[in-house]
Amino acid sequence: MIPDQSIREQALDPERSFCVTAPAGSGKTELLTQRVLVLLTRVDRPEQVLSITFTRKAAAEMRERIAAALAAARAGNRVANEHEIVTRRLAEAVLAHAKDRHWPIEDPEIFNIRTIDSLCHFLTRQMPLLSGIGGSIVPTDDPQPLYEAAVDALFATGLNDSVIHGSLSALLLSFDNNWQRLRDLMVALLQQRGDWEHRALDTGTPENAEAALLQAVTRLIEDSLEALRRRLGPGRVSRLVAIVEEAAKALESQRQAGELGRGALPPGPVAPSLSATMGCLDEWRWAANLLLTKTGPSFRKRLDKNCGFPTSDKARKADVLEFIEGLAEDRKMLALWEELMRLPNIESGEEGWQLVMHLARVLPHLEAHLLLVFRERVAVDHTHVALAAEAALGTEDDPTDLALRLDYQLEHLLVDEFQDTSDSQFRLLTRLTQDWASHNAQGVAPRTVFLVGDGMQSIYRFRSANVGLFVRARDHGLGGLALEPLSLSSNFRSQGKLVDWVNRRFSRLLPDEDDPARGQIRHSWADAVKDELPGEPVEVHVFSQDAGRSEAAWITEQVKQLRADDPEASIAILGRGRRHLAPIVTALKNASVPLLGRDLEPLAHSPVASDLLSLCRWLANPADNVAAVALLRAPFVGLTVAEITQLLMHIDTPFSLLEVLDDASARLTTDAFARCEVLRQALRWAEASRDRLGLAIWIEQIWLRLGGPEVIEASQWDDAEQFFGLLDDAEASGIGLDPEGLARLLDKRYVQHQVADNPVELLTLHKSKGLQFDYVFIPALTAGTRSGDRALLRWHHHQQADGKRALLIAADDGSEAGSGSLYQYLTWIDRQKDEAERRRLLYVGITRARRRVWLSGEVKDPGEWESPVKHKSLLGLVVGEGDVPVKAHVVDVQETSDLTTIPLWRRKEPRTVDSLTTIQSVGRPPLPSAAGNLVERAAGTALHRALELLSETRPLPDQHDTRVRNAVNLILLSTINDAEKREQVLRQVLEDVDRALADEKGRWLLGDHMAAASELSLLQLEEHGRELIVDRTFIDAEGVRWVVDYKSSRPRAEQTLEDFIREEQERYAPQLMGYQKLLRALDDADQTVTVKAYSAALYFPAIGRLTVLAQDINA
Amino acid sequence: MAMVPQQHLEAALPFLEAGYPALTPNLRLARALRVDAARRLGVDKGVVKSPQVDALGAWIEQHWRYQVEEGVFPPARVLSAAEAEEVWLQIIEADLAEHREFTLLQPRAAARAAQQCRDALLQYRVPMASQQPKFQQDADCARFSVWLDRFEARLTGSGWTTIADLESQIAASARQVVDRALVLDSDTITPVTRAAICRLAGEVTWLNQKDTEADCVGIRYEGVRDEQRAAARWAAERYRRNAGSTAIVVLNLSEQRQSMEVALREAFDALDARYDALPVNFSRGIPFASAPIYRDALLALGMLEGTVSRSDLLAALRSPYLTALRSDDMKRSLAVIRGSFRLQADPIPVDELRAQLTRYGEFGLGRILDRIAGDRLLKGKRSCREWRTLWIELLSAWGWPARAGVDSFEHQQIERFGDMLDQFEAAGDLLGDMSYRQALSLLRRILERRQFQPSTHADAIQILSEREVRGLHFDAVWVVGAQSTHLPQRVDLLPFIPAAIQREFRMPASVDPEGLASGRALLAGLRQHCNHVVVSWHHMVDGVEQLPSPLLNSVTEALDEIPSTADRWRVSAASPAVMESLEDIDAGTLEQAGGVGGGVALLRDQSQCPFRAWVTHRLGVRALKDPATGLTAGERGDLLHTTLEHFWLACGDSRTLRGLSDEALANSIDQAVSAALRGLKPAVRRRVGAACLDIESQRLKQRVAAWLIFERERQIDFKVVARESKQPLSVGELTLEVVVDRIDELADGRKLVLDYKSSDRFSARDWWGERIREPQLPGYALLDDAIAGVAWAVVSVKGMKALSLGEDLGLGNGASLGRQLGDEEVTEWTEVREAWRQQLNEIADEFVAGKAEISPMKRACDFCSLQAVCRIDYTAMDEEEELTS
Ligand code: SF4
Repeated sequence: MIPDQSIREQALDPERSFCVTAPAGSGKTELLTQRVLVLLTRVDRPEQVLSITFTRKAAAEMRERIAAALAAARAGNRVANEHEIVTRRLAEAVLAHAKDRHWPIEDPEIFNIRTIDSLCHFLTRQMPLLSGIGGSIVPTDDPQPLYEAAVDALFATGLNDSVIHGSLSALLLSFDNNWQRLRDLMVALLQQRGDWEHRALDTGTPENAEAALLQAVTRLIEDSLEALRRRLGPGRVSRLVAIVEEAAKALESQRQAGELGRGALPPGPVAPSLSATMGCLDEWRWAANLLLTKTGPSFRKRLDKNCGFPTSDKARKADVLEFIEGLAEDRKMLALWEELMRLPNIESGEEGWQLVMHLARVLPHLEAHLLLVFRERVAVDHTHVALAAEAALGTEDDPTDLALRLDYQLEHLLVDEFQDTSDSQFRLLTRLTQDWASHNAQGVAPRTVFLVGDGMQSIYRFRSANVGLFVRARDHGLGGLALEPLSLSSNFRSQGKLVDWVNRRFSRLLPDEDDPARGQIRHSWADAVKDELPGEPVEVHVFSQDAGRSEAAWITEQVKQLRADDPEASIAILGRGRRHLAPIVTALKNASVPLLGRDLEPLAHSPVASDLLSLCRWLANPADNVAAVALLRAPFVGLTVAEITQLLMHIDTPFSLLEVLDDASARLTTDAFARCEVLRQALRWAEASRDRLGLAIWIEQIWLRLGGPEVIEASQWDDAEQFFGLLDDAEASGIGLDPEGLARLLDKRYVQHQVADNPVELLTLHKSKGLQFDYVFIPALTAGTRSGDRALLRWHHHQQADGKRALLIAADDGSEAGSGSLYQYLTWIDRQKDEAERRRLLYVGITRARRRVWLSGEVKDPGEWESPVKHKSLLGLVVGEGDVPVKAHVVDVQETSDLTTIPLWRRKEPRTVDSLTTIQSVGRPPLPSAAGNLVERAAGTALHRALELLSETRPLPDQHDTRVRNAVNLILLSTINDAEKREQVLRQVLEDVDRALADEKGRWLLGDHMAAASELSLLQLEEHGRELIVDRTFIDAEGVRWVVDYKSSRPRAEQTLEDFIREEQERYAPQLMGYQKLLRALDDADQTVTVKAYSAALYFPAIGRLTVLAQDINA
Repeated sequence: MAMVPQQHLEAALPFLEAGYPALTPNLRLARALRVDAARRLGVDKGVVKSPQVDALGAWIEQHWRYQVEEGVFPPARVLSAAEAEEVWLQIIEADLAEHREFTLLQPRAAARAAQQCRDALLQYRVPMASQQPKFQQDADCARFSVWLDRFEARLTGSGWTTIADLESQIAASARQVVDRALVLDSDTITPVTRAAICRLAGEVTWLNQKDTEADCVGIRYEGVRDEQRAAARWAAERYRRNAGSTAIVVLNLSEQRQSMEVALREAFDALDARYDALPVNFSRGIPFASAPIYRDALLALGMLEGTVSRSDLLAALRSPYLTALRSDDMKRSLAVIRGSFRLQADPIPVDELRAQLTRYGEFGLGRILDRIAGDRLLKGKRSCREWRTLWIELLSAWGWPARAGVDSFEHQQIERFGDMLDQFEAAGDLLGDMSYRQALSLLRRILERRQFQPSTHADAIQILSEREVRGLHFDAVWVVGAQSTHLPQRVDLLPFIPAAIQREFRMPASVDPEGLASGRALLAGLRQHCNHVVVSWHHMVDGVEQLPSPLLNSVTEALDEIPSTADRWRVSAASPAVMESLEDIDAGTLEQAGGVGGGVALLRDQSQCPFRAWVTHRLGVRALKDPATGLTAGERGDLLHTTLEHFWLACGDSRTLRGLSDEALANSIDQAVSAALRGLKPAVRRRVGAACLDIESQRLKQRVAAWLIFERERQIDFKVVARESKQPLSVGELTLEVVVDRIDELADGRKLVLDYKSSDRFSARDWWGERIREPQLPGYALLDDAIAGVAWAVVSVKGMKALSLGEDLGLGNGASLGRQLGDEEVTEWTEVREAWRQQLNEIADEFVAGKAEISPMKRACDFCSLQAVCRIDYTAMDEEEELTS
């Protein structure tokens, strides 16, 4: 039986809510699947069980697992092990349950599995008004331009806005009037506003914001003091009060006696109380100086007269030293005292403090501008959707009835990877389940929450993940709902020795107590399920520093060996950053080891993509001479610097590349000229076909004309193909050829490697989460992180002792470490969280392995590492006290200069120029006339309808009837909204109608004839069924087939009647002749009619004129 | 080729022959049946009278019109969907204005949803009077019901109606018009339509699709491109073989239209000259607004709104359709681009642009802008009729849509412009007068809504969505994209109608939420009506695994080899070229060494990266300037320089400085700052605005005051003898013109060169080494033999300091003179100068000799924008970025 069997069984109890800690390899996906199956049998509709994952991939995997379990049960496949038996039993129950309720169980989409983003999107779609969005809108994945626009709008208007003018000016001034820098800061803030916006803006007025911040700092200080007091306990506190008082007194008398040296403590508190109030902070700090050494956070081992212990006072000194020793025994105690020293000093950071105030005043306006930008551009970011979803769920006091909206009640919630939750996500989940506790209290079928995660694998702080929330949920529940903590311990993934190694090493590297505020998560032990393998599970190797080359070479050798020994084994190389993997990529490629690097090499670095981008840049902007010269040097052209110099000599910039190329023959040798010709022809073709082909196709065709594919290796064709894919996206998203937009898209893409069988995978540690491999290499573990950057803004949610959370936020005020500014305090907090996460990242990396792990790095002196070293790097931490053996690889590093010359890479012979073919042109149609004549045309339509109606009215009236009037009115209504105007046109049309009725010819046309028809619709079968309408046709008494077109026009003021008629005749003759031809064909096929002649005519009711265009008697 | 299934045609013919109508759910089907029936009725004839086949909607509307004519119904204007949406929008915006506490980010989306919901209420015949209370239980529904009342009132008050209304009207009280009617494919018809037909026709025959289970096998492809390519190849194959009517059904056509088209073009080899010869008919075209010809028209009209973005300016200058903008003289266009980019504004104010255009000569665009500027036309509200006239006028002034011969697509597109303007005018007639901006956005919306479909012949391959294929017959059909997420198509509940009502009235989302029934019907229909059906799906989307549709009974792997784009290149590209790698470092000797510009930056570039010096100084090629927010670093630096220049012009020497009272000092600084700011270029001034300059003034005062306090403390007397002075500097064969920030004459007659810097990232190391990283001050040191030292005066936000080299300069601790330079050890100032002279001469001579190798110093590439030219594989990615990407 597996060690945590009973825990797994408990976790399937559908009546209870849990928060499960599931360390690496503990089989949590299986557990989640099983729990979903259990819950499905408890609900009426499958949507009532909502599972949330953090990535789309994870959601797809979970859906696939559930579908597979059900499909296997349906098919009655055989089961292999214990787990599967459980799963099968549960799946069968679901099938039976589903059958009773007519669920379409074969449809995997009926399961409610979503990412948090898609959940938010779904909620806002369901509640368009409550969410304040209005309707479905797909959030953009590239919100950067929106943020920039919002900041620009703030800058453009804020300085004229009396409310924030002062604050914005002050901020800009403190940034040295460097708008760009403040802009970057604000853009970064908007990116993360899900975490600060909520609270920072809740305060309403700037004064409130200021008060809220002040209060938050006060609470922070008082809570920290209280925590320290609690840790000390009442006894030690009163003892400390006495110690401080005595030391202060002693110090004072020494001072008066002039006995103090240079480094003496300042005068101490006279009657200290050391209570947990703001007013006592200085007392506490003085006490801290008394107890701690100046240099580092450690307790004093000596006391002297400079801190109030003259040599004579031996007994007191011994006593106090003993007290201090007692404190030092508690590992946590030192951290509390250190924090005390770091706490912000409200008075001291005047300027920094002001900056925060200014920011607090400006931020709501920035937020408002962002909304305006969203509105104008019809776009939103994911954060907005998340905030809107939260808003749509209502407030604590006034929650939205979601069940009513969705038409079902959510009954069960499961969240995977809960340690990656951010503050805003946590709030959303709390809202979603807010009345569940009270519901459950009614003794009905309980609603449950099931959170799964592993604090030790929390590595997404840069994406706002807050591991403290996991601890909070575990310890205090979600909303009002208490969760039972469960911890899985079985490790099904790694071999026994590896599990053991990780247990031992990480129990030291990770703390033994959780401290969510500092991002600290304690280590929990794993029980190996798999057997042990021979040999060391983890090896550590160090190399001489040579830009990663020897390390890469060594790893490549190991990889080759492993692949030779065990071709089926999976191997991964995990790097902290892409940069660290670059030398290894090169080495593996050189050794022809198939590799798969996900999101590893930026596409922008591919020479093919870079050349294509230059081409696009030039096509977009002919003044971009950098792009022009880049094209001249690209391999498909390949001019040398001397040739380019010749070509451009005495030519002013910006030059026109095409003009330069046109004149190239005089300036260049035959070879160079031939190279230019290829470019010239291709670019000429490009201009001729601009905007006629799809963007990607256009660029591709130009590139083909340049011989693009011929000058690159087939392995790089993928890069080109990817670039064309990018152009498709650019076109679809409206970016088109905009060079900046293209560059932004390019920055987000990575080279995709050809997938071979079982390649070595290279990926970042972050990306490796959730994966597993037989063998894992983690190189470059000695490289430092660049921590030199000062974040422009820092914030932290302080979990107050009263359970509330307060936002602490500070801007970079230029203060130095230890200055007591809020900014420095928050920096310190951030550093602590970063360090904790750095260690967890290594944990994640190592626990990816099933069999063995190699850790490595470069160091100055590898030899030194064979005995214990102190090194702050991750590798240094692992090696620790020297109980991990290290293998040193000393290489003779050649002095390489950083000056390396790059040769010109080009085709040897210029390409022969393709002949130029372009798309055929046709004549240009005229622009529509400026005046639309919409009313006139409507009047014409109305007249046609009126005549059509009259041709059916018998007896033919002398004047229009109501029906005619109604018909005309109805048609005019759709064009003329204004009643008076409409009436006027109506009158005019009816006058024309009446004129026709009064006119002899008109009456004849509308009268009774043989084979008469009005508005006759004809289909031309040869013309693919083109449809034509003939206004009026009939055969008169003489056997003449008339084809008549009504015309509502009349002569213009300056026109004679004759001119007018001639004009109209010329205009309509071809059309009418066409009609006539058709009718003839129709008549020919009709045995029942005999036609002697054909006559085509125009009829003008307005002037009572019937004009015969052509008569064809030879019928 | 018949487009409707045989059995449907057989059923319809007797009706048509007897003069009864046959009705179809949509226009496409009506058209197909009309033609097929006509062919049968008029065998061997070239022309026939149209059989009476209509789309249901059109038929009902027509009869509504007849009955209005007869006085059965009152007349009303029938709003188009677009017009109704505008009315909804007006109502919603009025509501938003009334209730400030209630905001909506996208009122238009709400308008669309509201319209959809009202239509559904009518279509499903929900009696609002009795159902009203249910709307009050939910905030969104309650708000909607308020809007609904206002919408109804607006319709009644204005004498308007909508298509859905007139169906209800017919269903309620029309009189019968025909004895019999046939309705095809009737299972998708809404209750109100059904009722309306029953009212109009005495006896209705409903022709339903048979509800059969179809046995479907899905072919699995890895990615969407593979799947599309396979389908496209199959279609092309059939076309070439003349194998009968063919369709591809794309399950999410709106998303995949573009890539599907590319795949088809590849398969039909219609990529280039044969671009307009693709024998494919897409049921969904591209919106007119995205067709380049209209995209550019909108761009041109949008430009008059006051500003133009850089990318729009570029697009306009290169547009083949806006010929007035294309100067014949390319150089002038280039100068305009450079001039406008030099403003570093994005968007560029149109006034600035106009100034640029005027500066570079008569340009069509300049004339237009001038005309508009003088015109108050754009202010105030006007009728759409007037806007229409203006637009045509403006567009012809831009030269739109001229292009040296349009192609057939462009021709067809231009032909449709009149229609769209009609629509615009009609909508405008309804909505009243509007501002230029409003009118333009209305036009844009119309162009976005309307789709352009190139006319193709009827035997073309049809690309349809699943809705459009219903009821049609093809010899062969391929359904692509049959993943579980797309087949069946799921329907969301309507947002503004209470779920209970949707359930009670059997609206689609509650009857068939998973869409399984309609999905099944789709496949069954295809099976029934088409001789050959292929269904496929793809397994991966962006690295996320997809599942096959639950409607597929089984899946099989694709067996065909799918050619990639690269395979096409392999065919079209000649054999791989023979490549060579050349050492390419020699650009040839500079003919006239005298005339090179660039000052001391030339030396710096040559030293840090000879290639960069070649591009920048020999070719004169520089990257265009990026847009700036506020003052750029360079501008702020210049202002600091000029402020100090003005100050020292007035103050003169250290003695005077020390003699100034605090107040007098402050006054002098104020004056110097004002003078410096006055000297700022007007275009910069306009770009940054007065507020920015106010802050700058404060900043300058703070910095300069702090610096002068620092200067006051200098341990030595000095006189400022040169400020921002232009001097010739001879190095090697070059004579460069340099501008020295300042030269002090010390009490003993020696001179000190100072260079102001706003950042403290420089160090004395930059003066030493095999190559000098920062040759500026070493160069200045050679200007005059009396120069005894050089210093960077660091006036930075982080504090004031001087970094100096030379003896007894009175600037605190300078850098040490003792250095190992090459083989020699230098300890004296004169030796340092000599060493510098030698090095700089070498650097200058390298430049003159045309040495242009790509060998950058460390960090030289950090701020260089020439990577595309030198092709260095430069990776300066920092950890932060890696983690967050
Ligand atoms: S990027 Fe580097 S190598 Fe290329 S030109 Fe610039 S400085 Fe020289």
